[in-house]
Amino acid sequence: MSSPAINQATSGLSAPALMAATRAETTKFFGLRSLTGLFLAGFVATIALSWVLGISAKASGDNGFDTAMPAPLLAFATLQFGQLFFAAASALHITNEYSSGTIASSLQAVPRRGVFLGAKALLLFIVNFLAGAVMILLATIPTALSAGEYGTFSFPDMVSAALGAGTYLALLSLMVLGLGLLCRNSAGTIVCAIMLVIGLPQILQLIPIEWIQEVIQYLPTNAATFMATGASEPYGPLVALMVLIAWSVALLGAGCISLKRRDA
Amino acid sequence: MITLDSLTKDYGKNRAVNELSFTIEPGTVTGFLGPNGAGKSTTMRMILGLDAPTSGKSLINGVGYEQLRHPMRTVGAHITGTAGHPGHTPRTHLKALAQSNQIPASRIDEVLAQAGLQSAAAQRIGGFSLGMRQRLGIAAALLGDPQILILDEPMNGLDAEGIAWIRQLMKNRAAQGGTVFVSSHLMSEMQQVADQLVLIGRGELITQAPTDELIKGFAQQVIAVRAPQASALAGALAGHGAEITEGGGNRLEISGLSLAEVGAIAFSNDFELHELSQARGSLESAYDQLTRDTVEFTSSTAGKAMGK
Repeated sequence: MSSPAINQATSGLSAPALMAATRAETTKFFGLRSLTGLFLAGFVATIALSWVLGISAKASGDNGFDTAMPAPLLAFATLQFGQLFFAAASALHITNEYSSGTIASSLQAVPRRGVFLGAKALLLFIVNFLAGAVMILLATIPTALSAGEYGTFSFPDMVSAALGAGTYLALLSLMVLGLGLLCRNSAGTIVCAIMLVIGLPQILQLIPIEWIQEVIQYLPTNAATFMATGASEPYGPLVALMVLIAWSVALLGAGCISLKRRDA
Repeated sequence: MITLDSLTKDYGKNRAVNELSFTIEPGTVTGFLGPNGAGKSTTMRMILGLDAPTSGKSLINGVGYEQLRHPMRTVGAHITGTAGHPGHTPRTHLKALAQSNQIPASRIDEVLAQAGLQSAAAQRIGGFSLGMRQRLGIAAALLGDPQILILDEPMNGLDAEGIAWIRQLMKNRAAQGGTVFVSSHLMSEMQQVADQLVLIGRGELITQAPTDELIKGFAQQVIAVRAPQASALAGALAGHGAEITEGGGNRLEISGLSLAEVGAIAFSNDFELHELSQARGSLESAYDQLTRDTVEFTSSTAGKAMGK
């Protein structure tokens, strides 16, 4: 039995505690087929859709419609759907704890809420970043092949799209983690996430008021596109990154307050 | 050591736990008893930092649970219904817990063996019976080889072998100087294992006392008498201030008089006796007596049967 004197105190975020908790989160994440399965499905869907989008771009081009876009950006465009798989996995990573009751044993092991949340956020950020970047690199190949001369791209195009996709999915996972802590319920969290990335932009588009149309440009999905395509209008990649970070900080912050205030 | 200081929990207007103060000493098994809904689980959850008290505090070895650097190495706890995610295997579940508290991985196989789960270590928890989940929860509690064990109804769903195992485990821990705090709503479970008892009802402390003292002090001394003219004898005894319950077969249960007094009354009134004996007060009857007024959820059928 360990001595209480050695095993005492220290508050705040200590690096070893965060690393230990992150290792635990990694074990939990990769121990569930439902989560790794969603990641795999996201990969397959994105790569397959990129190929289809390439075919479509070629057909349009051949018929005289200019839809030419660098192949990595065509691949990135498929994230519109692909992101849902990753968002669902991120949602389940936190809501599973509440639905299965393991939140109690998790918080017994890591009682400091900041460390617990930090570990979950760190894990989700890393796996989503890697998945997004690798996925776009892989998806570029079938897209370039199927789009032919309409998908010509440069190396910077590819790097920008891959980093953009990685960064977007990573930050999106933090937004979803925040939503998960607010909802504590799988279905609710996934519906909120879908509303945020797909529902809101489409619904708001129907409202013909100028400032609302302006607001749409600052929703996460739009910001992600501006970031990955290196746009200059209405704002550049750096501002786009800031917009995405602001969304993550706001939602994760709200989730963090909920985790600290409410009983487990 | 676990110390509670005026621990209180409100859910809206409903007070679940009301100013609980007591200390659980090392070297003992302390039973935490109360009817369903008495606030046992809520109290344990507050001790473990899962639920925040409305007021008051609870301390583990003098500090709050959240201040413990590697809590599982100090406190091993099992709260019912939290054994693990259905999609995980026991090994994955325990591995994550071990990693978070920097507990050597070798402990995983040790506790799996202790809990008798080696053969099920690679199966998914989703397919487990209640008893296996309990075993896994207790295995998780033992993972950090902690000084303090906090177990919420650990015997639920366990088979006879499992109950014997957990009983022995708790006694051994206490004998080695550990602190064991175990909740139950069944007095009979606790009578055989607990040195100390903390009784609560409706969130309030009823009493804290050594188990044998509680049996002696609180259980009424009941005297059993069998006599052919039982009802006439009952009348005579009632005249001397006894409380009498008439059982079947000319049997009376008497309280409020000593064995000698009952004998003397029967003798001086010429009653023939077939039995005159002291029925030892069980912890069960002491418990019933103490919690009678505080039972939160009395079933309506029980109420009818009792003629309410």
